[in-house]
Amino acid sequence: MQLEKLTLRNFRNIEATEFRPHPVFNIFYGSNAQGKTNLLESIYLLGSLKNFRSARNDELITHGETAATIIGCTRQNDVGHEIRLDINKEGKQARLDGKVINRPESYLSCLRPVVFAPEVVGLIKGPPAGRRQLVDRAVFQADAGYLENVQTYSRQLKQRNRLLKTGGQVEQVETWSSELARTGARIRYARAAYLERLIPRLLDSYRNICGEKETISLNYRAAGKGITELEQELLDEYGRQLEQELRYQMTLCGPHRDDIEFMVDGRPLRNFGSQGQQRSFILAFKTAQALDLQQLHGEPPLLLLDDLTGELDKRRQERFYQFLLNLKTQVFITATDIRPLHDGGIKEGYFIRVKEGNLHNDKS
Amino acid sequence: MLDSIPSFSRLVAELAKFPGIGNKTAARLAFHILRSQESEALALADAICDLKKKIRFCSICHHITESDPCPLCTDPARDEQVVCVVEEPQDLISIERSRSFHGRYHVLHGALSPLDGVGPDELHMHDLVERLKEGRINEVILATNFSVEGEATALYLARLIKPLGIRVTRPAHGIPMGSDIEYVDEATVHRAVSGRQEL
Repeated sequence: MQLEKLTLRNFRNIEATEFRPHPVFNIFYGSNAQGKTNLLESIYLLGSLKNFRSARNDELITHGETAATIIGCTRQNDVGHEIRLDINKEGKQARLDGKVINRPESYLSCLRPVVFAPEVVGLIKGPPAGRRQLVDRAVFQADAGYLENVQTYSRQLKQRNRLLKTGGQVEQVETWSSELARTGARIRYARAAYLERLIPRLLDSYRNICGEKETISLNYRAAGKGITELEQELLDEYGRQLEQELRYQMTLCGPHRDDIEFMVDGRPLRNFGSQGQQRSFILAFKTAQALDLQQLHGEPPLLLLDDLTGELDKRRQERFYQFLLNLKTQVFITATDIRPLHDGGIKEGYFIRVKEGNLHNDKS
Repeated sequence: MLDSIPSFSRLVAELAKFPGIGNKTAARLAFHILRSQESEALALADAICDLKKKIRFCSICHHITESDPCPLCTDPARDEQVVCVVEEPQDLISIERSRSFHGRYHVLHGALSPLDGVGPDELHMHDLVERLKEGRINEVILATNFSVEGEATALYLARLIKPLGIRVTRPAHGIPMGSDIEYVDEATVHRAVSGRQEL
């Protein structure tokens, strides 16, 4: 997975820039609030059509302008593509090789970016929705069929919730329960299967890349169960909750309300973990995800690393840079100071100074 | 500019109400009518009026018809033990065109969709059950669409019908005829492979 050219127009504080990234290391450095993270955000948005920090469309557009554009030339297994995302106040439109996409799968397979950012570390202590999203995005990058199940589920959920709100008869609600259980079981199964595959890598990364000693794991309720069992389990759940759901007029259980627990030595990380452990956990999760994608698609994904020097101490940084040097994938890093990167062995690549939304490329 | 020719702009405005027709296409059609023989224009107008005057819905199956009950419901050559349930008259026409089915039909005129305010009472469901209770039917094919709403409708009906001791089936779904597996989306291939059949 390679990004060979990035073109931005009116994206946040970047009015116009065209940039040909280095095949391995690209370091955006400079003072705070100059637009370093905006560059990572644009790449993530372009590659995944999602954001890693919350923003309305009009916040993504340069003040005083009406539309923003991100264009990327990508190369994957020797095939080049142009992906383009246009953003205006009403919405976003994505094009693959000039054509508006109607199914996102092939578009999304062009970059598959994996991001490590302070916002992501925050998900550990936050509400379950954030952890669900973290896992869901990882599952989706590895399994294209997952998106269809999620979309179907969300449509069925809307239908069922409307029915509960408008006081529909029980027979109708039960019909939608069965439909939800069928799709929901597949979602839970896909999540559990993904996590089961990820956990050995996760543990390995946590110990070897982050240099931690504890045993970590991810707890998910569906682990080790078959689809039929999960469907029956969901049907029972909906059945038990029905009375309450009729009272509250919404669907109260199912995969859209699940939590995925991050565990350290058998205890939930959100209650007991230190800041350092939390960062290591997320970093381990992201590296495990990257290695998994590498095995799946034959190429490692693009890595976007926001403010590594601020998030990790020197010891963790050095081990992680060693990992990056071995992985040989395209990496985009933001930093206020480039010395720790130099010290960690990252010397070859583009070091780009970002000032007031402009890029100053000093090759090294 | 069209405002100065009210009769023309009136026709354009009416044509533009059709699904899939925008203002430009509407204007093209209007010019076509303008250039054609008066007899042709009258024939078109007459065909439209005739349709509205003559077409009704069959009181048994709710398909569009000129005579009630419709020919499909009265044809003695058709198998009256099997009934195929579809969402719209267009779906019935597709199945008829395939010549794969020789039983009776039942048109629901929609699918369950709480978001659009459509429940069982808005669809022709109750009289389907009444038809089934008459006892002549021993199989119901639920040929609603393979969408979220169509699937839910099929399941709802299956639960309604099964207690009557009637066989309920649903058409198979998978890879379309004449298509390359290579170009079919993953979800469809997945469904087709898991529902594979012995040769």
